[in-house]
This record gives sequence, C-alpha cells and structure tokens, in this order.
Amino acid sequence: MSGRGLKELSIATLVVLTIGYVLVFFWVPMDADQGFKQKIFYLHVPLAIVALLGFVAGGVEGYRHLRTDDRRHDANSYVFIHISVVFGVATLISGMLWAKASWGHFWVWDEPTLVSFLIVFLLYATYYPFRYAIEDRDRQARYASVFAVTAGAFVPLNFLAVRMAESLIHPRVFATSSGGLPGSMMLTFLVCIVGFGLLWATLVKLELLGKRTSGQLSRLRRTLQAEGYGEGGGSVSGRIAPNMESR
Amino acid sequence: MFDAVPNDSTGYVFAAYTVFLVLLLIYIGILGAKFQRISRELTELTEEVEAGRRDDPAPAAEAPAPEAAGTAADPGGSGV
Repeated sequence: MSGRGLKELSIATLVVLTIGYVLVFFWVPMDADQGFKQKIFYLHVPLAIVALLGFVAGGVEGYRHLRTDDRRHDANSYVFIHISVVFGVATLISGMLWAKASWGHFWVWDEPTLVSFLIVFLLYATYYPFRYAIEDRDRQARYASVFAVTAGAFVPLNFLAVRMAESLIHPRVFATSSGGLPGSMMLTFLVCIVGFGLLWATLVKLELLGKRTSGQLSRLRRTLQAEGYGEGGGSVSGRIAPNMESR
Repeated sequence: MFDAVPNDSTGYVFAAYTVFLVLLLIYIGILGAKFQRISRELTELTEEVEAGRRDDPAPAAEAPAPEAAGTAADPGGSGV
C-alpha cells in the first residue's frame, strides 16, 4: 500500500462522509421510538463495524506475514490494528453517550454487546505492550503476527456468540425477522459505512506513507554515512515502529 | 434503570459527534507532527550532504545523488 491515490481517497472520504451526514441530519426521518438521539446510530454502528473488520484485516495481514516473512505485511497488520483501535475508542465513547441518552446509564455491565466489544477492545489494547516488550525486530514481528491472527479469529467468533446471546436492552437492528431499518435509514446507514470505510483506508494509507518515508530516510542516512557524509544522529524510523526498513 | 433517561438528548448527539471529530483531529495532528519531523530530518540530511560536499569534494563525486540513494535504499521497490 503506497501513498499513490491518497489525494483521491481523501477527497472521496470527505465527499461520502459529508453526503452521509447531510442525509443523517436533513433527510432521514426521525426514529419513532428514540427520536433525535437515534442519530448517534449513524456514527456509532459504522465505527464499530469498520473497527471490527479492521481487526480481522489485521489478522489476515499477520497471516500473510507469517506465510511470506515479508515485513510489509507486518507493517500493514500493525497499522490496520492501530487505526482500528482508534475507531474502537470512538465507538466506545459514542456508545456510552448513546447509552446515557437512551437508557440513563453510560454503561450496562450485563449487556453482552457492550461487554463483548469492550473485551475485544481491551484485547487489542494489549497488542502494543505485547509488541514492544520484544526487542528483537524479527521476533517482535513474528509474535505480533501470531497475536493478530489469534485475536483476528476471535473477533468473528465473539460477534457470533453475541448474536446468539439473549439481548436485554441493546437493539438487534439487522437480520431480525421483524422490524429492521426502513429503506431511507438503511440507505443513509450504508452511505455512512462506506464513508467510514474510506476514512479508515485514508488513515491507513497516511500512516503507512509516514512509516515508509521515515524508513527510506533512515536508509538514506545510513547510505550517506557509509559514503562519508554526516555523523549520524536520531532517526525517525527508530521511533516509529514497526519501521519499513528492508533487512 | 430507565428512570434517569434524559428528556433532551440533543446534547448527547452533539457530544458524540464532537468527540469523534476531536479524536479525528487529534489523530491527524499527530500524523502531521510525524510528517513535520520527517521533513525536518530530511532538511538536516540535505544540509549535511551539502556541507560535506563543500568541505570534501572527493567523496561527493562518488556519492550517489539523494534520489539515486533513495532508490538503492529500496531495492525491492516495495512501494510501502
């Protein structure tokens, strides 16, 4: 994944998200049950879905790294998980605000949907200390990939378990025999999902571009030092891990 | 459980969207700072090379141009 097409992707993200939120606030009808507070749905649910898919994608990249031993896949896996954790934070905060508005509490501990998402989030929060506890770069990349694959496999299993569990108050909007979203709400929701997917891809590309550039800068510095230029100094890639330097 | 449900939820909707926007802006700010640091290091490196060429023209003649070195540093053409 390179910086090519980043400008177009950023513009597409901005356009789709703008259209999505114009639809949310000016077109889609007010929910009969929840009223205005249901508008958080178009932020909270797409964020959660994109974050969970990002975790799974991180697992796929981890698997590809283990298969090929190509550092690019490890870097992709790291960045996918990193951006998904950011989306996870936003999901939790928006969900808590929606819960407070709807149920009168920021958190309900006996609700499987909430607790399971928190478990997944906390699992991925351990990715960073786990990764950076290992100094050797090769072992770090390998162990992090194993983590990404294992945790990535846990995400859909966790999702299925929650779907099968009896929900107390959290709504089941999709794939229910009765109810579900009316057409206008579904269309708006899909636009928002696409918008957040594009936003995720844009941030991933930006992050990877930064790592690639810092890795190249580091290599250039070493090449020039070998040629007799400069006395060295700090390298950005040493501070941004995993770096994109070739071994 | 439901006795404390607020009547006016406008503030919560506003807060949810604002929190997301603030998070996004913070993240973009961090990315911006990273790119600034890279740019600063690149400038320092360029100045070092230029100073080295002025002080000692001999290795400069053998040294690759920054563009060429960048290509050599990425032998696989990884594009990542």
